[in-house]
Amino acid sequence: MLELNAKEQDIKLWAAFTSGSEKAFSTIFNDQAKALFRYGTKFVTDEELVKDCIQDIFVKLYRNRQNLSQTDNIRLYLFRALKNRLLDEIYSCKETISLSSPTDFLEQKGVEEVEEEESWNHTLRIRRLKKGIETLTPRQREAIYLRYTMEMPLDDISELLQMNYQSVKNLLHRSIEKLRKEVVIPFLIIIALIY
Amino acid sequence: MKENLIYRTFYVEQWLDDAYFLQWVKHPGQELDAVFIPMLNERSEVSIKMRTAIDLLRNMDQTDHQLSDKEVAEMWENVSNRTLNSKKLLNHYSVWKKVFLSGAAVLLLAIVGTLFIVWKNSQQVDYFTLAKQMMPNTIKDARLIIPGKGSMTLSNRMEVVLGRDGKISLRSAQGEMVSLENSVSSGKEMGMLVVPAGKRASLLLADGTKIEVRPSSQVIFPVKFGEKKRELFIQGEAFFEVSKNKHWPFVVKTDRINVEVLGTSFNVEAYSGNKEQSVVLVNGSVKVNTDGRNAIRIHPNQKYAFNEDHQIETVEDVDVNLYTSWKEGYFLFNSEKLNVVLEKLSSYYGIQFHYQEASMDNIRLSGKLDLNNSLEVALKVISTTTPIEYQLEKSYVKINVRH
Repeated sequence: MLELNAKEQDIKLWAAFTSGSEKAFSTIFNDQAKALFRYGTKFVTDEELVKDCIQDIFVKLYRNRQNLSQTDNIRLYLFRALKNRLLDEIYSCKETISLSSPTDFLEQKGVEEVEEEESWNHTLRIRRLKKGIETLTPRQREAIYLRYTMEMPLDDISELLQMNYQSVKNLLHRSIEKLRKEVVIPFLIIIALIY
Repeated sequence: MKENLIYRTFYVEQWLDDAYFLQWVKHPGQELDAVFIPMLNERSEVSIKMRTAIDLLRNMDQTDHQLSDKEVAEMWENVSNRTLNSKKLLNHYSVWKKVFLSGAAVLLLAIVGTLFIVWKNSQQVDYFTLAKQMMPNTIKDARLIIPGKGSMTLSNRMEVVLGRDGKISLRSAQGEMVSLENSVSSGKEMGMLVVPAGKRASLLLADGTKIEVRPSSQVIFPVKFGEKKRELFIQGEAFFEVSKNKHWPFVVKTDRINVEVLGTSFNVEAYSGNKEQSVVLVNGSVKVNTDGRNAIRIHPNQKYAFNEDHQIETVEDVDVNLYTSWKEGYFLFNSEKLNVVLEKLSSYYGIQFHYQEASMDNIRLSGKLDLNNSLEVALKVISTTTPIEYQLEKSYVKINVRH
């Protein structure tokens, strides 16, 4: 029920935009910019490049608005556009763009200070989780982000990743397994020590 | 809804595969609370697995790069300037006339006045005196100055387009074109395109000649060329693609060099502080004469240089890409001395470097340097391939050689 509503809303909003509503255009931008950015930085670490690409996509959409096809899923539409655009950028100038590399995650976020003693356990696990995510392939990171942060249905993910439904399921399963091993084993050891 | 019993056999991966569980963690609600909370509160194997799954799910986002609200607002500003507000851009440029009347234009009037008189009386323009009056590095954005009209601030990478009728238009980097009101001239005026450090601009002349002007440079040109020759002046560096016309010679002047062209593309480098001025020819053929010496003809892939200290002219074969790559957005170096690299960065980014020249005598660099990045990125790249350290200060960058 809820999903149907969301689809209807997207159809309406998109139609308003393509027929020239400035308000619809700004709503779409402001709704999607943050999610697009998080998605884009899964492929490329250069944040400015991702920002530029997002802006370019919206400018292009606006200029072509009369010729755009309908969509009932704006987020998927934009994610696809951003991904294509970023891949183009990556292939057209290989030398100058740095692809996401594991170490960037660590450097960027740093390690948060542990404030309370009881959160120590928790912080330790987050730290391990971050490390775990670094060991994933970019494709696994992308799938995880789409599924668990964006809560995207598997069908949409399989479209973005150009994989079939079952392969996406397997991909997610393997990624989670990898993460769990990073996080859970030490966690259990700690429990064992406490008891 | 699955039976509770089935959940009891779940391992972590399966929990994360369960749509109800995912929905509950992300958007808790009464109906699902009733199913999951009791299980979570058990002190059992099930609750440990559930907690692990929840933990994974909640913390995965923490590794993301995030945009702040302020950044989103800035991005929207850019997007709407390029879309919704592009009509407003037009209005902005019709302010042209008012700029001329405003107090800020007084200095420009003086320059422009001199220029106009000189041009009219002798057809011999004292470009150099003129160029000195408006140094590129005293302004922040590129500027177009036209006599009797005033001055116009240009956004980065804008192209100034001169029409055959003397009408001037501006094309933005995004392709929007605006023609300037009241810009039709008698054809006798000169224009100045002044480009400060870190900015670029280009000029499309009525004869089809295209000039890419580098940062820290300026071009002085007639809005309409004279009948005998097409002549303009450059200080700094620019790349020319001259449209061919045997009967209408094209002459580029610097304060030292005259380059006479019959349809060709080439790069001229003549920064006011540098001891060497040069012309690099990509194709076609040009004649160069300096300070009234005999003209020297150079061929494609050759570089003519004049060294002020030794008063010597040289012609050598070069890889032209090394000299023209800047217009594609990167510098290309082939075993170039580090201090030369720094000089180029200095004029491109408009920042001073402090270093001891002797200490870097033996350091040479080869490769491609992307100019779309910030100065700091460029320095980072250099410091990973050479033994230098840099320190960013407020108004300069200190470079030390590591030992």
